[in-house]
Amino acid sequence: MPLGPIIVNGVITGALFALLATALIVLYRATGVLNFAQAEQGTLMVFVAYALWRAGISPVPAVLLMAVASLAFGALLYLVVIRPRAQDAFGLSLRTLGLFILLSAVMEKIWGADAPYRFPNVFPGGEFGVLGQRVTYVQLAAVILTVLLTAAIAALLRFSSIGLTVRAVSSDRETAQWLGVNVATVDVISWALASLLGAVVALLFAMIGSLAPDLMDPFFLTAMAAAMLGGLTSLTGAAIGGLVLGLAQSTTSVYLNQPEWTSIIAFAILLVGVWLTRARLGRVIST
Amino acid sequence: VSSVRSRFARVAPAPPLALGGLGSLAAASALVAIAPLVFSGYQLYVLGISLGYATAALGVATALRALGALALTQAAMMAVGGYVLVELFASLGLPFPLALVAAPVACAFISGIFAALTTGMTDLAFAILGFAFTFVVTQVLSGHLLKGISGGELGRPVPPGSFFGYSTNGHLAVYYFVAAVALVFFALASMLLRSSLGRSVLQVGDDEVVATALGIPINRLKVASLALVGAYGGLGGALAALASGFVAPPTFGPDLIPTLMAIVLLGGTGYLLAGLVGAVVLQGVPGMINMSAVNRELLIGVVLLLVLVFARQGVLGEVDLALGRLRRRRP
Repeated sequence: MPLGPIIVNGVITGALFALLATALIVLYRATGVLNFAQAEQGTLMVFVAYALWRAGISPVPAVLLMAVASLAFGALLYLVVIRPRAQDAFGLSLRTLGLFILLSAVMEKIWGADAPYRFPNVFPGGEFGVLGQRVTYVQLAAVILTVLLTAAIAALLRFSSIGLTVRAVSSDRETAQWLGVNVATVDVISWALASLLGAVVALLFAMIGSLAPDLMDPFFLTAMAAAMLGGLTSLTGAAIGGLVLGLAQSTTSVYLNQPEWTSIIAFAILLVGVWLTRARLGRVIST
Repeated sequence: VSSVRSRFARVAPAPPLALGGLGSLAAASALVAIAPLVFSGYQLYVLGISLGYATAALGVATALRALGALALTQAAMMAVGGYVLVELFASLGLPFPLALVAAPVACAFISGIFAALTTGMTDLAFAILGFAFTFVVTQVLSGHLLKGISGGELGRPVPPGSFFGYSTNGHLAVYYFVAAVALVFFALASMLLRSSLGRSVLQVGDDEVVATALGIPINRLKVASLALVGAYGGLGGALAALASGFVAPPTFGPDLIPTLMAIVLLGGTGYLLAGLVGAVVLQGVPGMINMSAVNRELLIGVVLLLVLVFARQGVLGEVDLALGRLRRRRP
């Protein structure tokens, strides 16, 4: 098989890996919490959009409502699960393990029996050729949305006043609090933003393939590996990691045709990432 | 590394592994022994599986209490333990006792290497790698690469074995065998934690700086302890496989990670019998009342969140506190 399709497919999946990694990073940088339920959260939001669509709302408004709902859901999870009797970031990450099993069970219970579902495509239906590979407009949208959203997040962190606050909190949570920064606001915003990013990734995966409760199962490890390549803090690291993993996946799926190789490679990259950043990982936040 | 005490704060400085004394262990053993008088064949079958989970959970609890380490690898260790048993015993025809011993030994080896590679890493890094490790092991087991060994999605049957003349054929026989092995290893853990070696390990978890000052070789001790923790995971997996009569990759999926955590935290980190209490409540009882897999996952998610937010002492912690209050009230 020629190189073109491998590169094209790799870039498309890689973009989505990178975007999910960005969601993990947005939350981790600001709060020190690694959300093990990030992928499940996104899938649940796509099911919300699906339910809205089945209830008679046309796809585009349903997806827009989903975006709003995912922001609200992220904030809600923070208020209900994370904020009460707060612990250190490590203990809070443990709580997301509870969310991980709870959310996947909720989806399995409500939608598990008839899965997978076909999710309506909100993008134009046609396709075009790139390097000898047919690319649909959904796939193109996946790449463009990833670039736009990552750039938006980076700009938000770099130039806006809320970005400055987030950076202050992530560099020293306690001092920021003493200086009058409202840490809770930063936490809510981070949870909401990460939730939105996760939902967008799940939405695109659902439109490219189909929708099922375990839609994101194979992708969480890859996203975590991509995020880890930048020490869970660097958006550039996540982009590079996502791309490398996307290319690794498209290569192995052509030459080895065994999906577990993607996981093995992701684990190897995760090891490298953890090893490179082991000194500062988990020490970002002291309380 | 911050101390475990601040993370899972106890109200009163309880002695290490209270309610894990040989007395309470004997009481628990008596309950396990008379269970066949109360429960039917299917309920015993479920209880036997829970004892396997309890054994693996004991490892998780000890790692958390003694080292502050979140052994998310334990789910993978259970899988490896189960498959080592079935592969050596059923496929290669090795004697059953040898295969049963090989399961924890293999897991101790893997877990030890994992611990050695992650020496000096933060708790979070260790937890992430553990989670990813379990993820990748499950993916590989349910994929095509190892289909010959894993039996694919459907798994493989585990035939009854013979342990020095004792055959594990039939509900009651396999239950008593699994219960005996599990309880012996609970007693071993209790004795080990009371030994000078165990006390050194507990000191490492409480305060690494003090431990270093006392001349405890922290890194070597951590690797050795985590190897032992892995061994308990492998043994637990082998026992669960033996008790359930089959071993399949989905049983050991990523869902098992929060399940083991919920078992340990519900029981109460720091208590030897935490795994036993948690496994009976979250694995045994739901199985006995024929709760569906999805409902059990819901239960585990809710319990895990509730315990983490509201009752970090777990059930045994609350019992311990209540007993303490009673004792103080007496003149």
